[in-house]
Amino acid sequence: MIAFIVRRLIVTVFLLLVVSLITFAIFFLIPLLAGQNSYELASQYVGRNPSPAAVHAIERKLGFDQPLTVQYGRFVRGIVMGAHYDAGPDKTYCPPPCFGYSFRNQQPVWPMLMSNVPVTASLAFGAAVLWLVAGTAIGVLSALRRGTVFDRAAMGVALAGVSLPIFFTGLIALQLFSYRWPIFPDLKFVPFTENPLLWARNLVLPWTTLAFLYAALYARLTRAGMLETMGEDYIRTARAKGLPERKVIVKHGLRAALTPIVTIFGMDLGLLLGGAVLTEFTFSLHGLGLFTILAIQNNDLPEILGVVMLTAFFVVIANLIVDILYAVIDPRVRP
Amino acid sequence: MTQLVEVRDLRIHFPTEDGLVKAVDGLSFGLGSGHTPGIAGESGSGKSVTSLGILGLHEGTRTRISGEIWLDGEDLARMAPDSIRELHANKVAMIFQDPLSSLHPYYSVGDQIIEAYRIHNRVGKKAARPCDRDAGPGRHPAGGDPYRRLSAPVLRWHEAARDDRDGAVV
Repeated sequence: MIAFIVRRLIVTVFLLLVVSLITFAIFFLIPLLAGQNSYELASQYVGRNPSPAAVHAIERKLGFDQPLTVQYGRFVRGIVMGAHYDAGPDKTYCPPPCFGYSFRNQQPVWPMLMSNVPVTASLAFGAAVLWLVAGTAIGVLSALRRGTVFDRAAMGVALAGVSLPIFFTGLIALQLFSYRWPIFPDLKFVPFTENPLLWARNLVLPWTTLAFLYAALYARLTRAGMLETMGEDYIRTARAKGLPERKVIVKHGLRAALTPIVTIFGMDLGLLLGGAVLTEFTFSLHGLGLFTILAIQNNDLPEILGVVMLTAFFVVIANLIVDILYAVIDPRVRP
Repeated sequence: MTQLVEVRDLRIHFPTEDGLVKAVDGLSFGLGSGHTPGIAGESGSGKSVTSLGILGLHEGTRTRISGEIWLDGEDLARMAPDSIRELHANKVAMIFQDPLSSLHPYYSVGDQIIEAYRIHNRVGKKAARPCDRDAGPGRHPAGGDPYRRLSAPVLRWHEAARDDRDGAVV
């Protein structure tokens, strides 16, 4: 088991390297191929109407004048060990993990990213708990009552949940429960450490909106999985042993049906941790999603790069955890 | 001679989208105590459907069963599901074909035997562990503690799977 985890960890590091290579290529190689020279690249880092001397200084300081392989090396080393930018008298140290400096306000990107993580993490984890519980419960009940009114109603609502975009359901939820009936008025993010109650109260609507979408998806997946496993021979064996039906369903049916759900759950959660863009936008939550939108609007290369790397990190780590969980749940994949 | 099992006019029908499938239609037979009868027939002739019907293992919503199944003075066809469950692997049992698909792939063979034993016997998990005395002579040539030997996942222990079925029936 430990060998398995170590092997997975090595693969994970390798995967992150590949991601860094691809993002680096997208943001540095492609502009160059498109005809942008290092002078133009550097001019994005200085204010409007800069003097050529200032741009050249920045170009040298950030190393844009060096070969690409060297630049990539600096990029990776910056993330792992921090980066020293020095060109003559102008010295700056960017502590690890260093993703460079934002174009917008000349601040290092990493602390900016980190300040956005609590909002997104609160949103993602809360919604995840909701949709996992609601989605699987509804899916199991639907599968067991296949063809009944409950099943049809649940699957109808699920279809709506999958199809309706968050900016639609979110706005309706806001209009109804924040303005017309102000059950959740004045929504703004309050850190958990400051006031857990207010934190939860102000997140109820975003959680429900986000969870609605995913719960619908998970309900359909669970239903399909349960229908399949409940038809398996080993379910018949469990019944023939005289096992109570509830145990047959939960211990034998649900356990096998849940494994694919775990896989998808890891991916979804990892991706959401990199920014629940639509939900954050709809509810004006200043998390990584809104940060990403602003970064893209401003063409802020280092910020975009940082967000991409951070999201990739979350997804890769979530997958690593899923792989390990998988080995725990299903003995067949155990090495 | 007293009949242990008596089946009268058993009909097992499955309504499908393509019409009613009459898998078993008016079957009657008696089974004497201490006898070992065999049912022969080509595939799809209803051998399994009959056996599963006697055990009440067909899905209630999609099967129509009529007739009488007498076991020990009780009509299994009219029994409540809870009472039938009491009889399962206690008075009536079935050794399924293809142990690979009949056993749960996520649990070890040993644990599945224990589970079956504990349903009808109020004992702890350890007390329910199969031991060589139960297994009978010649069944485990490998020797050693049978629980540890059976704690491997199902897929790695195909042959052990057959023992599990036997163990559950016993």
